[in-house]
Amino acid sequence: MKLVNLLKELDAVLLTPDEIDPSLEVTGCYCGDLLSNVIAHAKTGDIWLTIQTHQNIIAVAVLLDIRCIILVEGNLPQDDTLLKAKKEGIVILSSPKTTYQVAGHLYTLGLGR
Amino acid sequence: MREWVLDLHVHTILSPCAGDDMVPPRVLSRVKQLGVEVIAITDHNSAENVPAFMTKGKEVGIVIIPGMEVQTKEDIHMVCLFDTLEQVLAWQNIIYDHLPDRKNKKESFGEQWVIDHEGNKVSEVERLLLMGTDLTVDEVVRGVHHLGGLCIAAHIDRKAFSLWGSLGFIPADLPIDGVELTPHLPRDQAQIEQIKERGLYYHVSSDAHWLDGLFPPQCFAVMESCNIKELKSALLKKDGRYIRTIR
Repeated sequence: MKLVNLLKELDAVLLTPDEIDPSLEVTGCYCGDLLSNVIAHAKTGDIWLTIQTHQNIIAVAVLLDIRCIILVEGNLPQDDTLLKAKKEGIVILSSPKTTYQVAGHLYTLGLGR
Repeated sequence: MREWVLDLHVHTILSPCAGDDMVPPRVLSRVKQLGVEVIAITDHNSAENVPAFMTKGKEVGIVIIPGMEVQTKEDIHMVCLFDTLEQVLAWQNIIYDHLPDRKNKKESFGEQWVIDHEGNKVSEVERLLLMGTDLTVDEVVRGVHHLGGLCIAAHIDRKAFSLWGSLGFIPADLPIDGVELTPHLPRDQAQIEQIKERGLYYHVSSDAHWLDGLFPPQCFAVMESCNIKELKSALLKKDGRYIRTIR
């Protein structure tokens, strides 16, 4: 599915400054806050939902070729996290909703099904 | 210079998850029996039992390093060590300001006793200590350094409550002074490599919550004297100082 189309439906604020590449595809979603576990189990092409705001989330996204991170429950990235995201071309959003709500919404939109 | 026998991570009866036997006379006589000379008192998010241990330590000839094990916003445990009681109490004020004010449920979490140097129960800490503060790991390291202390990433070889578990690896620009590993766990080669690459070294501490959790000597530091400056040099293997562990 195209990331831009999915994000239009979500109640999430785009925090990275650049426009999202309209051709960018996502294939699934992974939820997790223990980065060691995310490294082990998330997949390339996932949207990643987390409450972690440390800049290590960008390194993990780069490692797994995850292109979009949604910080849930209103979390905002630390300054250096946002800088790194911009440099690496990772899309970061923040949603006031919980992981359960955002993941559920993405599921009803057909992501990963 | 000489070799000092250390255990840099020991809990007391103040930590809700620690045993009733973790009071100064019993801990210090066990430590002495085992041949450990220096212990750091590191309760969860609090230093209220540091004074009692310092008093008893002076009496029986065990060096007490005033410390605390802080839980960061990311659920990472960091061992914070200082030279003086004043420093650790100043740090405690900061931590208490950043710890959610929630009442302890003794039945679920355990009791949180402040004791005197003979181990008599003096008062209970009402607020729950076993929780994350809202300080990030960077803020904790910076805060401890600002007060003149040093900061060690606790038990990074465990999945729960560790820098490695929560953040996946050691952040490149986090100025920690040392890395603690668990005595009995297998060594993870990738972790050891990364500790080296970061210019850091590891040591082991008991993280004792009960008397039985205190170990015979496992961690040794070659230093001129036992203070934070020397310990920092030993942890970072600078100026001829170094720290070593059995494995």
